[in-house]
Amino acid sequence: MVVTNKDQIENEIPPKALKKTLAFVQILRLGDILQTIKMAQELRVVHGDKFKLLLIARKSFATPLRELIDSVFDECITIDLKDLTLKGDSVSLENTLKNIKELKAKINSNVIEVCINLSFSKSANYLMSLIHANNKIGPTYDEQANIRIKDKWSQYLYANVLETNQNPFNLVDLFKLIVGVDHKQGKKEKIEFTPRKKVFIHPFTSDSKKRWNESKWVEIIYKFLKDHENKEVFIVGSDTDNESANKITNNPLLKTFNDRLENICGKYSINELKNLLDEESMFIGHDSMVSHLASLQNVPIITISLGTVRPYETTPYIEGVYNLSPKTKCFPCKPDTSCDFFQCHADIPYQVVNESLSIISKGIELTQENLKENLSHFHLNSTEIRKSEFNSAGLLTLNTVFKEDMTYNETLNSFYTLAWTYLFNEIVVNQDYPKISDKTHSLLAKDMQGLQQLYELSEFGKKYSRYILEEVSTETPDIQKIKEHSNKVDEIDRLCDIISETYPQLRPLINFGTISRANLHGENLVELTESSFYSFHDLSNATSIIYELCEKTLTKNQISKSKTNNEVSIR
Amino acid sequence: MSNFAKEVVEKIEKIKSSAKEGISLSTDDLEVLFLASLLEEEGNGRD
Repeated sequence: MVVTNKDQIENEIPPKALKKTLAFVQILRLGDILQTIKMAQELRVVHGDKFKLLLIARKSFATPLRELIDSVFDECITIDLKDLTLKGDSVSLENTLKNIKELKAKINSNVIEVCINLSFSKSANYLMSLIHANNKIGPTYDEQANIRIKDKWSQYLYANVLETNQNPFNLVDLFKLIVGVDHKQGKKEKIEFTPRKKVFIHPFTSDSKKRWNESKWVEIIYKFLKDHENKEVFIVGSDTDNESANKITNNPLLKTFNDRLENICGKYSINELKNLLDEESMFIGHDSMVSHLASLQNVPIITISLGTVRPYETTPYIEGVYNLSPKTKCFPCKPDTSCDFFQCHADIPYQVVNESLSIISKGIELTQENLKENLSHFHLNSTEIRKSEFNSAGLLTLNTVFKEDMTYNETLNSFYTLAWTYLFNEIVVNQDYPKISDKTHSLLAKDMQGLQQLYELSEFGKKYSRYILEEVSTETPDIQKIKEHSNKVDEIDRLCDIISETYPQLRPLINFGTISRANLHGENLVELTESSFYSFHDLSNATSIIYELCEKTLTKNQISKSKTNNEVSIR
Repeated sequence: MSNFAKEVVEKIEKIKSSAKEGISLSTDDLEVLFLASLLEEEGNGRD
């Protein structure tokens, strides 16, 4: 038989390129998994099916979200403490470790190109150290039980999320920056505002600091149903929320609205609940998983942030979400801050919530004008109302609905956005210099002194790192001199801590510097010192960017003030 | 304290004393620490 070239070509099976596996460790709660799903969806938009995506999550949180997880991830491996301890003949350490080895083998049966830790929890960091991967991103423990973080965005997240209230990035954006998803190419989902008949309320959170008590929700529901005779309200939550939900629905004030108010806690699975959020629905509630679920359905969303919630970080990842937060001085607090008074709960009056809910349910966006129609300054003075929007770089940001001067914190947040994105990714965010009040003007002028000191310290850090390198490169390095220079570098770190206490708003810079220098790269003194030099160099650059932004904003503000004064005097 | 808890605590104490002597963590040690952190998080309600 003669085999022709044509036959040969037809019979040859072309080699199939093996997909690289990207593994994501996300062993936190439902909301965190939903934010990871959002990031993975964006990764799929940019890279299609180029990679195999593997999610490692806790069984209790991954199971209810299984359909959503399977829609974007190729595989999901779950972890369950009960399975690890109880599977086998007896409950013993030996047996549990055997089960952990099995779990590890299952994960490591994948040839993982990159393993990314998005959980930032102790167990996730230990798990990272057990996973075999060609590259690891995010925190992992080393053999000396030190946490190691190699990439800058994870260092940033570790240093600033929850540690300061000046992180301007949404967690989904931070996940995307850590993973390296191109922000410009991603899908920019937007909420469409049309009249909505059904209002889904999730008035529960995992922590009492983050939620109103039932009576405040009763007031809101009462007013809403009284004013809108054709609309319905559904209380959503899990089985465990039923007691609290019944306190709302059984309140005597709401008795007359029984036909338009329903408690559906625990009646539907998460996926069924997602499908209930249709084109007739809208959502209002505290910071919780359900708000992220609503963002997947593009329905109008109002979130109310209280206690420890940082709206910039956790607002659902879609353009058009309205966020209400208190202007209380201590907001947002830290999880370990004790509080009995909950001033932040009182600083969002129910009237503001009702008016916002009423306007949005009619299919209208919130504006300064329509809010002021029925609300007085007394109502609005203590509440911040912001809308989520994608900026020129494709990052989700929160912008105030009121066209007034930017607050001091917002001004600094906008500077931090510019500085970090430029420093780490050379992303240029186009934004105008903020219009600021006299109070912000004087606070920024004071900050500039701190920035000047920090800049000088980081330049000293660079200088002493360079001295060490120069000494090492001599023919006979003097150990004593190297020690002296090294001590100077340590002293700089201590002085940075002092600046951090005097200028707490500069903490994001100082925290990042500290984490960056705790994670120097290198196997020897030269490599470590070079890494130290670059760490100080990053701090110096970030500081000078923020200094320049302060300087230009103050100058612009002064010019516009003197123009206004001239106009007044001419009149 | 259950036998299981005692076993975990004893093992952690051993790991701690080895670490004080400057001995690097083995994979087995990291597995125990992973388990301990899961137990700790579950106990704190942070799971």
